[in-house]
Amino acid sequence: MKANEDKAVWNAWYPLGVPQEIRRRNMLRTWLLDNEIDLEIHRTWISVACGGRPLPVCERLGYIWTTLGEPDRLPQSLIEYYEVDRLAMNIWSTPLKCSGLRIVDNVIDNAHFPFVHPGILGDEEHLDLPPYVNEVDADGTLWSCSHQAWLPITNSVAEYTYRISDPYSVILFIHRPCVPGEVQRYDYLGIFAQPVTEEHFIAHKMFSWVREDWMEMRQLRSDQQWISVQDNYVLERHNPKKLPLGNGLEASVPVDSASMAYRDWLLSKDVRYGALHGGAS
Amino acid sequence: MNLVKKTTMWPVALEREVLPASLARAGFFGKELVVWRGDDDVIRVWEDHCPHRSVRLSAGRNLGDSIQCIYHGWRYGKDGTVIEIPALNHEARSDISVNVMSSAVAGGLVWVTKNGGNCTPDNVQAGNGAVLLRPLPINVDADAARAGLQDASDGQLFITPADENACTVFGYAMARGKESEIETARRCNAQLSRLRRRLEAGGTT
Repeated sequence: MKANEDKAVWNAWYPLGVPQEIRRRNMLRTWLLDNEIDLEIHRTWISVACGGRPLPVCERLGYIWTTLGEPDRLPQSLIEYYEVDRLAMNIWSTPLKCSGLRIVDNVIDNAHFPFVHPGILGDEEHLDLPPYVNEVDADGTLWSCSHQAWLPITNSVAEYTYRISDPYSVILFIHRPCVPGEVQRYDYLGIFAQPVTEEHFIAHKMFSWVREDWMEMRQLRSDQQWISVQDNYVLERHNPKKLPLGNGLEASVPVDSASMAYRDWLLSKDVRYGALHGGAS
Repeated sequence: MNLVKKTTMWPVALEREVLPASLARAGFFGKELVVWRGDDDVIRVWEDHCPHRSVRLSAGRNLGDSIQCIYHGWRYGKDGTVIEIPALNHEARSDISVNVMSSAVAGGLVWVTKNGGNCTPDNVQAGNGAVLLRPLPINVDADAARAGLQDASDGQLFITPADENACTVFGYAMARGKESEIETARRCNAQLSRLRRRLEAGGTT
């Protein structure tokens, strides 16, 4: 299908990369929604164009964002990202061979932790996943709140909340331990897909964590990349590569309610790019 | 040579290559298949697709009595239905099933039918002196392969379409004179490989 016929996807913002990395690699070309995108690196800014048409550019959450359509707002914001006591970085921007919608579906799913990330994000002795709440707020953002899952690396139960404001992106809020009376703070992990085609995307993954003494940039980055590699093994083995919507091609059980809510939310926005409607392809 | 044309069943794997505790893959009319041997020594052929989140089952594990999907650990029993969902209190769900292909083993080959009909391979002529050839994938469609393999050596060949642009050739060769099995296989494999190169380069003869 043509991407510009899918309003929800066409009129959204997408990250193209981190400015420092674009400069270091002298990256002059990338792709977005089947279109070739040209980048021009200036002394103090980077401009973006598609077939000679200049595109809007915005720098946010460590990335350069652009859009091919006419969004009615700026790229999603996360004010807390900029708090001074945080450590924030791009984990990597890596190409993957499946629909970008698949990675969002993967991130909001905790039932795979014991099998894809054993001993890191889950284990088979702790399979219990208490119910959680999915809701769409007044801005049309989908929230899947207070998932509880066993986290072996801390030997305790962790709590996660997911925010989906665009079809191809998700931000994970990791609830930090807090005493009553204190303001609840979160560690953030953002996964933004830059759809190259319907079955191919670049995954931009960033985090912004409250800095602690033990934290070491290089180690944190390699740990996160390690987790992503485990997910990539599964992501690149989906068949079909697109995300089935509203056709009963994939069976679900109650613990998949976040995944089902995401699919319903995509359907309500009539998302078709990267999705598989109707029968099997 | 006997190039089998009209058929309702196709070979998808060599029986001897479907090993216990492992998973084999095959392409079949655009479908991906997973072929596995259970602890009861029975070979089963399923669509290579987990009905839960569409991950290839061949990326998972053959546990002997079941295949476990790599993604969420769902286990599919010998009849193809879900016998365990770990995140659902290890419950079984007999209403969820993989697509099980009708299959049979004959003449050292694993056969499947296209539309679920009874699989009883009756056109296999693996008699005395017949040597099973290794499967040969060719990157042309089945019709082109059939045309190109008209003049292949004596024996019997079966062409299984993998998808619209590729197929796999299975079959037997007949020993000539005092040839040993390995010599027959070597001669025919070399001949088929030559034909394959010619086909993939765009020629027909």
